[in-house]
Amino acid sequence: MSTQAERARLALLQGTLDLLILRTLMLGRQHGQGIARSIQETSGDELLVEHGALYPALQRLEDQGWIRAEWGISENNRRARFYSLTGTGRKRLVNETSRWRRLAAAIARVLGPEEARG
Amino acid sequence: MFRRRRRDSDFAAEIQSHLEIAEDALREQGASAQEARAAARRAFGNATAAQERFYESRRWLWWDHLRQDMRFAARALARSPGFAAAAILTLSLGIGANTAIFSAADDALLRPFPLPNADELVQVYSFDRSTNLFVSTSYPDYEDFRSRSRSFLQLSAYVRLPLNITIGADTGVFAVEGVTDNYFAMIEVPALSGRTLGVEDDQPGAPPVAMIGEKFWRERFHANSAIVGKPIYIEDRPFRIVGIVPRRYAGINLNWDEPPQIWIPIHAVPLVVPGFGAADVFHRRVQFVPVAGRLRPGISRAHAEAELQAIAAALARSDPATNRNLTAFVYDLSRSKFWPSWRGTVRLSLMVLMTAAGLVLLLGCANISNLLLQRALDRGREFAVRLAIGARRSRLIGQLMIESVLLVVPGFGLALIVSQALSHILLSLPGAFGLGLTLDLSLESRALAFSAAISLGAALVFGLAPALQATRGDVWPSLKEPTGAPAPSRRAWTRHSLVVMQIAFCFILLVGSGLFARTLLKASSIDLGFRPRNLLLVNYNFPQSQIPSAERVRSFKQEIVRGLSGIPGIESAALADSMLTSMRRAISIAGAPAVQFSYVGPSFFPTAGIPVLRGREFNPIDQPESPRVALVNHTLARLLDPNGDVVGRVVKLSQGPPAQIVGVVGDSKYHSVWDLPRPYLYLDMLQFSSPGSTAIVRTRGRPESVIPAIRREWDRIAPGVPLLEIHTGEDQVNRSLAPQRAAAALLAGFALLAVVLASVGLFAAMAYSVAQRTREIGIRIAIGAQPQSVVRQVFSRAFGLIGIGIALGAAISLAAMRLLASQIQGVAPNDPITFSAVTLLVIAVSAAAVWAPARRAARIDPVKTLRWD
Repeated sequence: MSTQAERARLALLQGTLDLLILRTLMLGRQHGQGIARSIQETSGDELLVEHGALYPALQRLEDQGWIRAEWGISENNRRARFYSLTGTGRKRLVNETSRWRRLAAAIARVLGPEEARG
Repeated sequence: MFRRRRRDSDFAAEIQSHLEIAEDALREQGASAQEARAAARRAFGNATAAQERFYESRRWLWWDHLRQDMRFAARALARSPGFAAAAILTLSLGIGANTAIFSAADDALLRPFPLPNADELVQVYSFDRSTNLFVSTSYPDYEDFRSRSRSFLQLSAYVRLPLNITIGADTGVFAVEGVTDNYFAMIEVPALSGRTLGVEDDQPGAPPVAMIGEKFWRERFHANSAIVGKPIYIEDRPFRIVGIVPRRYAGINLNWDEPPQIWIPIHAVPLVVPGFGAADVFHRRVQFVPVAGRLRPGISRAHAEAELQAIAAALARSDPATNRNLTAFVYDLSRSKFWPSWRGTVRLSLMVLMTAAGLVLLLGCANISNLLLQRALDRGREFAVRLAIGARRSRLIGQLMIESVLLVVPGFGLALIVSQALSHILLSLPGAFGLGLTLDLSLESRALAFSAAISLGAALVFGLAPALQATRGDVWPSLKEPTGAPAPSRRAWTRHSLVVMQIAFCFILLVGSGLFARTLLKASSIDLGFRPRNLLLVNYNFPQSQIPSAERVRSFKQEIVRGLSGIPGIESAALADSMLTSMRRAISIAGAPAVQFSYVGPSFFPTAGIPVLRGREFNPIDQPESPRVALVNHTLARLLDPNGDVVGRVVKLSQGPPAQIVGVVGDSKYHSVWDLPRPYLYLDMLQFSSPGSTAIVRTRGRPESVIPAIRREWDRIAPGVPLLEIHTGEDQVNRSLAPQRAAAALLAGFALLAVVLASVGLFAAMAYSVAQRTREIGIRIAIGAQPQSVVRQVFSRAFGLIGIGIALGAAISLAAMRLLASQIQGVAPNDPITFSAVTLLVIAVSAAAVWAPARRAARIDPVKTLRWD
């Protein structure tokens, strides 16, 4: 069981993580480990995906019908569950991306220019 | 919808594959197999936690939680079986009482008869504006209503009579209904077997036919279908059975004792009751049938009523001698199962009982609530810890509520048994609802639904407050405090208000039952004007078909008195026709207002114990052919002559020849114990053509001991005349007190339950409060407080609450008991004796309940308590 504080943090991360997963799957089907690695690499190792959060997020997206999953064989001949984007997921990604951009811009305006460190 | 779409094992497999792929990648970068595995696991974080989170996101979760919570709650309850048993018992008593009373209210006031399109059925009552009384309708009036009105599909009339029915060698009295030709067409009940009564049966000269009820058919004829077409003997006359009425139909009127078992055409009634023929019952002056009808579709009750009132007005003009003051009212059938003027009384009695039962249930709930609250507070640490490690509050509340539900479910089951038992008691108490109604209190779906609803309501009432309180977010104080520290005042407040409420409810119930008990007490000290001790009333039913011979009737009356007087142990016997019954008959005396009267025979007055003040009583020289004689009571004598000097005077009566007053007797009670002195006239039974229905007997010793001898001798005394019942004069007095007696008994039962519940509640609350303050009290004793002062403190704390409870209860009682004014007699609703007695009782019971906790407080050993924790 998690505390309320932890839950709050998760909630904040959720939207972001969902968006990143959808964005990664734009490039083609991928298993969980691949998604995590891809996010990490494309973000220049700035974003560390907590794997414990990744799978529930995948499950949620699957439940909502934005991604679908099937078992397949990885390049290393491992059995893995592969995720790919559905039609609604694609639309969702477009919406979410523009919303995220607007939000990021708004937050940037609120925060103002970064102060030089003294 | 609640399908688990993905199995947990599938998810575990996915995590496994994730770890393997990660290991592969690490090994490619040159790590050893072991290092790679460890690193992959580190990177993943807590696999179990992820699995758990996955699990929690599934929709089946609520079901798993529920099952867990149920197991948990069941374990918690099993740990304190005493508490669980007490709570379940309390609940079943409360819910059972409410169910039984609801069942009665439903049957008497709410539930429609189980007839097709019952909402179209109405009952028509005539109304006499000169006396403001509802009356039956005369047959010609009914025929005029039927032929002139347009509002009804069918309008029919019926009359219910207790008649002697002979099957083989057995004769018994059953309720027979005489009905008009369209009666079964109106109720739309088809025959179970055979046919219903119809137009051809109600013609003059038609062969006598009857329908019998299914219950009667099963019990008397063992459900033999060949009975249709066979004869049944009603008052010794054969009636051919043409059909069987299904069981679900048992009359449309709860007024008269027994539901009808046999139906005959209304015009056949004079055949079996010659007295009816002689009285010319189909004359406009004789109001003897209730009327019921089925409205045409789309016609409102109000419209039908307006139409009948117009017809009644026309009749009042054309037949002023009989109809001048008559009008008619139309009621929905389900709202007029008995005389409309009784509705208020019945509703009031049911409301009183319902309130009492409701208070008992609330009291029980308050107790359980209090105990649950204490249990929950005792588990305060457990809850605090669970909240702190992230349990949701809703989950904890849910868990506590499930505990409540677990108490309610067996409580509900037991309640059904309790309600059946109570229904039996209700049915056996004549006049339990203010008057004698014949109710069907078998448990049916509406009562069951009601019972289930109040059970759930009760669970909410007693479960929610403790659950909310116990799971309030004060995590830190609970964790820091040692057990046994004072509870936050807010919680104490809830418990205290429960105690106050209990005392108040208890007070109200006690005052209610106290007022009825005082009424009964008062009744026992009222002078009845006759002596009910050592008196027996013997009721018989002279076969109506044998009436024609006046000679036979006269000799029968003489034989009956002679025969009874001859039985050892009997001092005297006399004929009477009513004593302390609701039967009322009036006769007009020229020059005086109408008075009530009855027929009595020689030696009635010495037998009843009514003094003859002047002149003489009836005696055997008064024969049908000799001049008519009468006796008057003291009040009537004063009314006729200021000095009461009326012996020898001849008075003209509105019925029959003039009569000479031969004596004056003392006033007595005629209808009920509460009668005010009223003028009353006695006529001589021997000068009357009726064979009578009651003989009274004065016994030397205990009257009950003579009853077997009377039964033994009866066939010799009155061959061929069924003996109905024998009861004592004291029984008869009690019967007239039945409504008050029933109310007193029921309310006393409820009040007793309330006292027990309230004192248990008070005891538990005080014991808990002492237990919680053990340390504080210990310290006080350690620094020198005397045990007495500790006891005093506990008492003063308790009596603060009790005082508020009593004040609240008294205030509510003062307002509420005024509603009872019409039911209690001879006692004021704010009777100070009752109120002070109840106050003392509540204080005494409370003191007893507080005594043990107070003693415990005084005996607290400071050394032990200070070592605690």
